Amino acid sequence: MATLIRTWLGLGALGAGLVHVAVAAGAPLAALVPLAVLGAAEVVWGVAALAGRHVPLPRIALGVAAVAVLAVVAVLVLGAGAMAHMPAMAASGTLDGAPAVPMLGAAVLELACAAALAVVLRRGRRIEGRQPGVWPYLGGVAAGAAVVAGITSASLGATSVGAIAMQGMGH
Amino acid sequence: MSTTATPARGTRFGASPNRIVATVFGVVYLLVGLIGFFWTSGVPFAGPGDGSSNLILGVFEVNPLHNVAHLLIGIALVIAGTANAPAAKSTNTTIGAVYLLLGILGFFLAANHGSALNFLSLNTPDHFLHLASAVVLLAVGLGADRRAETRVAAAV
Repeated sequence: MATLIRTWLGLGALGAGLVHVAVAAGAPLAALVPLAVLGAAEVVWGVAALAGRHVPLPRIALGVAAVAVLAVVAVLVLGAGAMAHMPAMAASGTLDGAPAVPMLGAAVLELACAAALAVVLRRGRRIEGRQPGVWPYLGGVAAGAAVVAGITSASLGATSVGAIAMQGMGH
Repeated sequence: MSTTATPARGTRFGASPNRIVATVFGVVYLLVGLIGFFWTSGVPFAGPGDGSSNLILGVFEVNPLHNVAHLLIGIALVIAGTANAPAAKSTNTTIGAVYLLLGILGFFLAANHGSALNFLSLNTPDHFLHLASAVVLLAVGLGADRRAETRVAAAV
């Protein structure tokens, strides 16, 4: 189970990182840099979690994930009031210049990662215990990959880059 | 203490997640590469197609070069999967990394579908499939088949 938790953490971080990189590609400059840095960091951390024997920097990762989720929630809550007075912003469906759906998708993945990291921290830093059997392991990886790919694909499709890509399919 | 991430060469097929995944994905990519040619008659060997007739199952866009790439990837995965665990682990990781890069670049490339850079005739469902493949291959390639590592670490 411990190996699967680390694998799911890696997959979740990879998915969130990909979404943030894709959102950064179509974001204004002020949002582009932090989103691109966050996305790149998540991809690197995800690969490290998959490749390593323990979850890397769990406390820092938990802090970053919590802050990122809270930032999206804060913008969503504060933005809801602003949107009531700004029909154009509501119509565009953006969170302070970033599209809402992919940011929420990434936030869901980060929230799941934060919950798993909290479990890891409670159980101790090294979670590499007894290896699961081959088929339970593959089933867990497939289930995790399906969930992450589903959320990530839907989120990527809702980014401005993904929307352009969807239009490109029509011809 | 020294450790190695190389799994045991003699790991039998049913005990190696990497060998299983490499073989299954390899067979699927081989089949996709073969049936892809049924949808690419009249399509240029390389470069973007018109996005209407060259769609496998009406979804995944291909051209002959894309089919050849699927065949080569399928062959590499099947050979590695049937050979031994270290080969499967390396191949899964390498192809997973390439697919991840392709999936990321693909979303930027998709904005210019008709560009000459789109020489594999990729569309958005292709990018999604490549990302899903990358996730599974990387997860298994990086994370599985570490029994030899554990044994070496314990013995030293």
